[in-house]
Amino acid sequence: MTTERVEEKVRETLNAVALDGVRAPGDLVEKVVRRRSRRRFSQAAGAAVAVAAISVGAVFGFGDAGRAGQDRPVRPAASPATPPEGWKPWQSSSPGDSERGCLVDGSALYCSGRTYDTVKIDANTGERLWTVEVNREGDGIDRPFAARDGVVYAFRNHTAENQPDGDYAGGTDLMAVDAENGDVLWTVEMPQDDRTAQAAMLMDGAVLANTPSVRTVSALDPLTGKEKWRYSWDKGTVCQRAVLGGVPYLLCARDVEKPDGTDVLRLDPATGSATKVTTLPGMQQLIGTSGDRMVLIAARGTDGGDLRLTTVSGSGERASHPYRINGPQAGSDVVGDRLISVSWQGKASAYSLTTGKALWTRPVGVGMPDQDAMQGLASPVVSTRQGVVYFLGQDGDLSGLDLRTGEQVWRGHADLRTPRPGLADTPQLLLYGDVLVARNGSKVVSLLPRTGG
Amino acid sequence: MEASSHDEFREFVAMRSTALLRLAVLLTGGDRHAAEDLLQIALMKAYGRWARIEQHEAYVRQVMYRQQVNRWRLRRHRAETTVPVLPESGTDADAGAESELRIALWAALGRLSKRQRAVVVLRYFEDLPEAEVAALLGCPVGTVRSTAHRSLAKLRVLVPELGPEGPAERVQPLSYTPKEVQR
Repeated sequence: MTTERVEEKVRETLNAVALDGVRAPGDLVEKVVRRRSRRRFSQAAGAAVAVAAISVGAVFGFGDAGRAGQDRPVRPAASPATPPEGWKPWQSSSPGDSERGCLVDGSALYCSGRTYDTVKIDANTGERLWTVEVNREGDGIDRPFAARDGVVYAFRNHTAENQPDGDYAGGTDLMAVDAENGDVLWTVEMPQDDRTAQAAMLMDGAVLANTPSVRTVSALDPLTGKEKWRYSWDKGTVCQRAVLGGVPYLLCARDVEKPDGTDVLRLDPATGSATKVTTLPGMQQLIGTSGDRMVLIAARGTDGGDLRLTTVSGSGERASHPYRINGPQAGSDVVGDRLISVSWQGKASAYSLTTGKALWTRPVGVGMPDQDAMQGLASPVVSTRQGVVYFLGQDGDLSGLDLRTGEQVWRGHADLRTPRPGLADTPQLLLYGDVLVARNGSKVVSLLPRTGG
Repeated sequence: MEASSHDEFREFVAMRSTALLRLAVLLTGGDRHAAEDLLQIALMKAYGRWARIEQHEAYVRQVMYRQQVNRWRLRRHRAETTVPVLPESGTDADAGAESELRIALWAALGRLSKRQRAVVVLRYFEDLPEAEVAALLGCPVGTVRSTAHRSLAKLRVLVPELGPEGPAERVQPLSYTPKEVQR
């Protein structure tokens, strides 16, 4: 059959699909508003940002080969950057390796891409060490999420093609890979395609995974994937997950627009038995952890900009402070004791989680993405040793701000253009010691910011 | 959101949500749960900036396309997914064969990747030219072309009744060639 004929058959098939029986539910508006309300706090704080962009970077900024003013210290930083032993600047463009994202652990990068569910890359040289091929297709924004004791944890497509009537129909497996050689040690099927940080995380002696149902977490043996215990919650309740010092916690609230409160439950790492630690008012959105505290955000008023940040320790000690933001944020991350936010106007702000004080607001120093094009900003990274917070712009521009004052101490550029750009992916910035690893799609650039000198 | 905008949003949903849900069903390969999830996400994004959007439907559609190809979304376990809606059956022998082909083709469309399915729906259901598909998905025209080519090639494999490509039209699909790491 000719291509034109096949195209015609596809056209006929799509138009012949009996869609008459498909009708939108009558309560769709209410569903949308309620769902948005649940996400409003994180959206206001910039945690829920759709990211889609193709890098249009210019010249890689090593030495003086880049554009004027690249890779230069603007002011001396608190501490100069020093590279790990054996590290040299490198860049790689290997389609299929890293489009979904990367993780730094030890002297390795573990990435997921379109061709490989996991790739181990030498962080010193950029050399690819081993790969685990994808099941069927590799897309999305998931990446290896943790590595510990020689095991890397990542996600891959679930496939039932070996079952009698099986076929690929979507779904996600949690996967453990031997960090030494790339052997897949075990896989466990997840109940949904959630590959965010909430889907699975490391806890003391186990992997805490949102499986086998959407209302259950299980502690999985890290070497075998066997379930040690599980804890389920009631229908009509939603529970966020966090781990503090190896101990798992749940933050549970009724799945309604305005729940009365959010219960903080501690799960025994050995048995999974739950103990209520405290109850916080209203719906609290977990936005991260800071040391031995969970960081939560909740609306105080009705305009979405008047928020309250609460930190809760594992023993239930809590501190709350007002947190005022001006308009939606492009990104917001808990880094150490700071909440670092960037507004769509290109202003970065730091807020102390301990004192509840806004510390500084300064120009972020990189170009902002197009808000209406649903583009976002890579999460910043902090070098606590240097006292610098680094940002990566959509165009490959890099900026380092003094963590104490917000003053720009360094700016640089990474050429993140790919030879043949494909569909948009999420840019990402990582830290390997003092070395920055900037990634957009399959392009990865590793460079040392020349700060402090 | 102001009351007037909320009313406008409600009116838009009442008028257009069924058509948009049908598009979402095609984009998700017939998974009704995933389709409603996709539509909800798109409407949720639109709701937040309703007053600033000029072309509401175009915006919602674009969010759906990009969401579908760019992000993993919550999707029900395969055992909970609904069976895709199938084409109607024919009455005579030819119509029966045609109908069987469509059923096989529809099942095969469900086995394309999300990127491939989005491109196929935009090209052959929405009948958009490659340049417009590229603009909607935020990728080069060449990517759309190669994705469409690979999609049709995959359909030929999945539905043998479509037969192989004729020798004259067989072309090498565009593909990336992995390069050595540059140091």
